[in-house]
Amino acid sequence: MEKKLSYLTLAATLFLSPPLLALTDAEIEARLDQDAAKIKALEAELANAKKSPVYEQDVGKSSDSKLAKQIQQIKDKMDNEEKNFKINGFLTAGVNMADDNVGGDFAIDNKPTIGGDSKMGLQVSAKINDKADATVQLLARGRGKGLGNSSDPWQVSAEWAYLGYQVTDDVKVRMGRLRIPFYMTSETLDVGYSYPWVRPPMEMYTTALTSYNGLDVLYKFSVGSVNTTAQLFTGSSANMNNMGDADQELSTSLEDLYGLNLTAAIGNWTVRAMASTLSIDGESAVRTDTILPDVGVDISALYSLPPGSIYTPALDQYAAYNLAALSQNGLNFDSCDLDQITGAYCLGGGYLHSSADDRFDYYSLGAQYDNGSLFVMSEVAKLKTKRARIFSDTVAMYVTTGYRIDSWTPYITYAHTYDTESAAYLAANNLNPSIKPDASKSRSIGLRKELGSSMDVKVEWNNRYDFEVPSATYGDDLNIYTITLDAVF
Amino acid sequence: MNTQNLKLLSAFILIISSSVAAAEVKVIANSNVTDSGLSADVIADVFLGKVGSLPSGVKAVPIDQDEGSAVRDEFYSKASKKDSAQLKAYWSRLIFTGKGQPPKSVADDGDVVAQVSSTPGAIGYVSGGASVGGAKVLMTIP
Repeated sequence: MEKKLSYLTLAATLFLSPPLLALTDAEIEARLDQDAAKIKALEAELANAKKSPVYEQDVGKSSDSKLAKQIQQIKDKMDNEEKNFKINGFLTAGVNMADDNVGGDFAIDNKPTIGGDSKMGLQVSAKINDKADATVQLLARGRGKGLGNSSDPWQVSAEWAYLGYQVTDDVKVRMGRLRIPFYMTSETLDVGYSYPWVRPPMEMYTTALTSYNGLDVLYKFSVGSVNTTAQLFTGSSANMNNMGDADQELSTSLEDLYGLNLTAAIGNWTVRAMASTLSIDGESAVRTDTILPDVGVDISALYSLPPGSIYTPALDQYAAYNLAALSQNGLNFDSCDLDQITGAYCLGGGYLHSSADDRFDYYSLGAQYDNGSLFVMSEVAKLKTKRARIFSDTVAMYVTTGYRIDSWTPYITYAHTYDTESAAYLAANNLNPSIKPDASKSRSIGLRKELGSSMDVKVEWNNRYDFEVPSATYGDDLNIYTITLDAVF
Repeated sequence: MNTQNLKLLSAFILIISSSVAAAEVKVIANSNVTDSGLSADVIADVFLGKVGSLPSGVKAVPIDQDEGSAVRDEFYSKASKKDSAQLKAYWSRLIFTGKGQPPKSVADDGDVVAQVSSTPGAIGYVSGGASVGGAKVLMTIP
């Protein structure tokens, strides 16, 4: 003990008095001896103090029944408080980088940036009585840049805010703001520590809509030794989620959401199935200077003008054609802002507004095997739109497998997504400028390392390839590198 | 692979696992718990919040040990094949979806015995050598 204290003193002295570095060994030795003597004197003082009557009275008789009772009461009270009030949190600090500035939900740039994959959540849960509880989860995501807000990339939202009521031991109803449980890890999309990847496979886990206002019913039941949970959910999402960049804003609100998922677990296996239906109200605002042709471009075909008509900024009258022509193309534009500078409609500075609604049927199927060391998980989802106005009909899937060796978990993922609508159909019907017939595959290799039991660090190399529409800059091959640090507390 | 090889292999695995295995864990319960012959899987399900009641219908009250204790790691690795990190990941999936909170935990074997003895339906686990006082031993996990 004394030796430890000496070390501690040495460390403290080193820290406090840099000139000490200039001292000789003998001088240090002498100082240590001095410090040791001081510590001894303090210890003697403490021993004397313990013998004094005051100490006896106040602390020494702590085993006395009265004091013990008081302590027990305080302990019980603290236990109760703890039981009624829970605070939990999670965070991910992520750095990502790709071959090119691909932006997107995760704000992936061609240089290492912190942000897109970073997030932090804080959850407060209070027990109201034996049956009722209230929970709020606030989430700050560093993905504002990807949403066209580069001035303040941190976006805070209440992803969960609900009142729960335990109807019976097996049935719970929750009302308020909840996560949409489309996929296996949809509800913990932002809790990096809870899943194996740096982020759930982007091919499936698009994050335009993550929460809704409504209610769900959770029903737990067992069939033999199969533990099953049924989750019925319904609601709408009044808040608008922006996608794309500053030039192309698409917000979508969700209505008439009805869905059911079933999760069955037996031994090392978990199987999950989900079916839902919802309608989407889409609002799009496209900056007109991005849809107007460049100066000098032949616009005869675009606006049904005499052959050889070249677009010049002076030809303001074509702005009027613009709206009409686009509407003729099957796109249902509602209004067009007046440009403050040129005084013309739909020229630079203006936004072209349009809206559309659509109805979706959404299905997903997932399975997971985990024997403690080896795990395999796979999901497939199908989105069927009625009119393909905002999204396209899509199929997405992934399969991940990994193996835990002590605190290390190497894993690999393969993912594939493809649209099932033709380019011509989308061009004529879809108002979302970012939706083009698309298909891509990706393969990833990652490694997770546990740091204690509440933190991990993950590195992942993600290679996307086989794009249906190769990029002008990175072609048919895009590498994304990510490193994340996850914690739960 | 023929049967002889398989036998040899399993013998080998047994030897390895028994030499690696540390202390045994005793699962104890309040005297009002009448269930007998419960499997380690059922006990694990109780501690993981997967089932709320025992087969006899008694509402189970799991009493956990604090994170970082050796007997806790031992219990979960044997009963549920989860190490402390996997357990944390498991609970974060429930906590942050509002689907559950981990059981109440106490500091050591003595506290577990005290809580289990005085709480109807309580189930706890202690290290093999611990005295169980007024609680009854449901099973011993080697």
